[in-house]
Amino acid sequence: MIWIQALLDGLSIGASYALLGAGVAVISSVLRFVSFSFGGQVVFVALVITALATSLPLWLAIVAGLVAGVLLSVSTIPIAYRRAADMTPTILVMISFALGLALQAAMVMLFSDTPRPFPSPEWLSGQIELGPFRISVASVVTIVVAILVLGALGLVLNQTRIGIAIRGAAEDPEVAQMLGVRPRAITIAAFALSGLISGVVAYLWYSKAGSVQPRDGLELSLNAFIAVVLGGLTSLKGSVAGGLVLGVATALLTTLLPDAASGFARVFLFAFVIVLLLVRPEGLMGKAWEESR
Amino acid sequence: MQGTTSSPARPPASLVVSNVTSGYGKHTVLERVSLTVAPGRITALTGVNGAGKSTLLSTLSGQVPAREGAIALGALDLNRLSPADRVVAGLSHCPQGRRVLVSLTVEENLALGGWTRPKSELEDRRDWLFDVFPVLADKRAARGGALSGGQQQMLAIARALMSAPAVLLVDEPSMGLAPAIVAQVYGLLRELAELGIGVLLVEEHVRLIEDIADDVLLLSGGQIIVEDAQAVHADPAAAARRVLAGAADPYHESGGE
Repeated sequence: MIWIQALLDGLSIGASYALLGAGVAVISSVLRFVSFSFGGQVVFVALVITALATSLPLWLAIVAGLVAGVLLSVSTIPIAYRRAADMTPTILVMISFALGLALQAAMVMLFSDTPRPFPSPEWLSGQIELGPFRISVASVVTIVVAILVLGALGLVLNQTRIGIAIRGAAEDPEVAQMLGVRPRAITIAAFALSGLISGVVAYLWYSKAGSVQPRDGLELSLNAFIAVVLGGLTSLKGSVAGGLVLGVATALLTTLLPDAASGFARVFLFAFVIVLLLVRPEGLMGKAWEESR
Repeated sequence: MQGTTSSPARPPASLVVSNVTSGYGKHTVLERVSLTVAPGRITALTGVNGAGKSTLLSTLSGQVPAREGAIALGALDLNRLSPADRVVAGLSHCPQGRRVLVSLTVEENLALGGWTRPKSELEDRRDWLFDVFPVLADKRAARGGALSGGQQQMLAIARALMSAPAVLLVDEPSMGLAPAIVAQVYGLLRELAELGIGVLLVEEHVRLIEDIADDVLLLSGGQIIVEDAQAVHADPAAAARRVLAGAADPYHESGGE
């Protein structure tokens, strides 16, 4: 029975990781690189919400945080990715890493690196009893919001002109250009979507974590990276699935390992990732990186 | 293929290429190439494999920058425009190997082809293309990757027509297709020319263009060496044979490629 409880916990962690994966994959599907500054952007939005919530109503602080996420994400294009089309994925990954570190340093200067309590309403910390199992309200909200956001993302990508153009450019950027699609428009749209998702993740993640500090970014980026690698690097659906698998596996491992070993849950997790990639180097749903370029 | 019922064209315009030089890196592929694609005419460009035919089309559509020379569509200087803006201006490039987007449906491929046009126009133009290619209408919800080679070629041409081009560049549409399908595709190109669209058709196999081309150009050694539009018009078959004879020479000189 304990594993059903772990599965419930894992679903909510997995929903957060799925969003993390989607936020990174929406860029990697188009520009073929995994951004390591995404976690820093999530932290930035969380800090913005924390700072604004002291003087604004919470909902307004959240809206401002979402806007800040989009603006920060899009503003990294002229700063770091202006010549992205001419660069190799390896260089782009290094740039994003540097960008994440710079962002972290800036946040430490602006907000100091002491943890700050994250503003969330009282009702979010409640518990729901389901027979012998319990799940926190925050977990339910996380799962529901993740489903809504991923559903909306799917609608944008499948039903709108810009969404179809993003998918077309992701498959063959040269052909998209031949059809009149400006690469810049696609880049901006992808970074804007990624920024919006970073804002949603920021709220969901930190309302459960309780407190936020500037150095959380790398951990978040790493989780996003694993989700995306599991999913196949450039596949959006795969990254969402990868995040879900990662979250559920984390919760199950933490619960089911004997007490002495549960501290090493991540070691087992990474071993699992390595084995999976040995068996399926292209990830859960991806094509090989080279082939998709 | 059914008769063409409506014309989605824009005002006719000539594509005039003067002394264009281009290539990749330090390697020069085209040297001072000049040609004209007139409205309502099919201009066929032939030459051996590696002569630079596809490079010429890519230079015209802006994928490969022209180092020298002028490319004009009507009164517009295309050389200063990005590839995307050249599509807006009325030039459409249907690339070699079809390059259908396999993860997008037929309808989505077409929608992307109409990216530069107002949304209100798209449905009419798509319905017109579905009339021209009934097989695409039947497969409208299928992914590009699920189509046969011939269907993919039709989709690639239909997609290129979604931008309502004044001039259509088509690269080796016969590649990998059965003769009956080739005849169908070339019949469509003739219909497009009758609508006033200028067609620049790259075709390695000279015999395939004998019956269809209004003008035949031979690209060899990075230059256009046969351009006898009037003679071709008077006797297309004879001109094609002359081009064929000319095409054979560089092939033997260089010992292949």
